Amino acid sequence: MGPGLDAYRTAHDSFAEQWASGYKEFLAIVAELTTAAHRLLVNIMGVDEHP
Amino acid sequence: MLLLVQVVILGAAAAVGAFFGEYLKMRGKNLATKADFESLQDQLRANTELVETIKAEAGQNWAKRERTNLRRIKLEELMEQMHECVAVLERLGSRAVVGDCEAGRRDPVAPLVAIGDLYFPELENEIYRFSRKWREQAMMYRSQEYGSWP
Repeated sequence: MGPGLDAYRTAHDSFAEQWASGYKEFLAIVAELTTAAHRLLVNIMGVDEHP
Repeated sequence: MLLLVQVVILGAAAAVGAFFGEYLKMRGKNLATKADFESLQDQLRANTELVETIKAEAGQNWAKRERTNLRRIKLEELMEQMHECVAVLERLGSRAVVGDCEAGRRDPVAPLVAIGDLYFPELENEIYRFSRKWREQAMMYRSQEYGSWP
């Protein structure tokens, strides 16, 4: 294993870590938007089929 | 002579009586007709107002129903677009490490933001946070793609 491969692995791990952390936040935001959209749908239609 | 005068007076009285009788009869008939006509006019006016009110209410209800339906459809589109964004980002995440250049070119957030701007000001904050985070994640991919990463 040369220094090039180590550098690649470090960069890869660092990227994967940052990506995963950001993606987790992103999924939380997705859940927020979904909840807000559902609330709005109930409000628009005036009926909550899944209270 | 006296008899003649009496006959003339009686004749005149009868003529006057007959004239006024007929006049009053006609006058009464006209008044009754006028009253009936005014009553009919009032009824017609009331009916017209009622019809106009019903038409206006029906129009308002139709517009409200149309708007509700349109917003429901657009909300479904918004959710579909959101899931498309999630799918694209997942593809980006999985392909970034192997350098797939094509996956990062699309921006599915734009239509989502457009739908939000046009139809759902109530979701402004959620959509803003979503689009910002999506672009942040996509930029992370692009940074790596273009070599900013070591």
